[in-house]
Amino acid sequence: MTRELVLPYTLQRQIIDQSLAGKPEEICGIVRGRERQAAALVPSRNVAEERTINYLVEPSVLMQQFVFEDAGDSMVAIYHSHPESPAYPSATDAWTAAYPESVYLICSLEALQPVIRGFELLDIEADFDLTALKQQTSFHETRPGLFAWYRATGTPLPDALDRTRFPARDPFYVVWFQPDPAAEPEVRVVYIGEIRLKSH
Amino acid sequence: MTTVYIPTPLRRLTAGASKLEVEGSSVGELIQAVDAQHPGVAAKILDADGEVKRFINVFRNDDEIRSLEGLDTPVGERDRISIVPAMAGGAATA
Repeated sequence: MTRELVLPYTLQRQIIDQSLAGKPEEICGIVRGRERQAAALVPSRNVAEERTINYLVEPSVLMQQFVFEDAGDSMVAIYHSHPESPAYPSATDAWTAAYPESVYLICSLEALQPVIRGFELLDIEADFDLTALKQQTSFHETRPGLFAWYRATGTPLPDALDRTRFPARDPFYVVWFQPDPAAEPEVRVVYIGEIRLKSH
Repeated sequence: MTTVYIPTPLRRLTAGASKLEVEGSSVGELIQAVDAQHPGVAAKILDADGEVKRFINVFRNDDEIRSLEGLDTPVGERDRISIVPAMAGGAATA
């Protein structure tokens, strides 16, 4: 069943306005709400170093999640903008996803009209041979030392991800961080699920 | 006893608890006290060298402990310790 998030039009407009005002840099923030109903935004400064391609929410803003919870609410979503790329999680977004219970909202300014989409980013527990996967797929270095391969829905599963051992859930990213070729890579497999956004 | 706030991603290790009351005189001691009750929590916060992982922020009240004395930051009963995983990401690159 497709999950949903009620994101009132006024909040969508605030995210778009913040995204446009921040362009060419990415913007970000968190969303307070209750039971899949967004109620208010808490905009953050983007404290990443290269803000045209990265975002980093201020830790003090993220700490508000505990204030929300003490009042019976929760951090129902985290939002950021993609000034020049689609409203879809990047491999970097997948690698850094840290809050599986929150919806990831992405506002893209790539097209004429801004677009906001919502996603869940969930870790898939999987056992596989990364070396074999590297040989069987075409992966790319998305950030220095960070490599990714994206498995689109319905595309063939490489033998390295044998169906008998690998959860049949897609689309997903296999991302691994290996800043030093001699070091053991850290690997994550992250499922991307779309969340339906409703305005009321 | 000091209150330690646990973020949602770590709650599967704390039986769903969002905050815990533990004893300790420093942030490091509190993390170990939480880990003694709920094994595995410390490994999510600390790296192999025993330092706070790069993408984890730990606050004593409103101050991140890297700006204080790190894991040696002293804590009192009225302090509030918050564990906050960083939230980052970025656009796709060619």
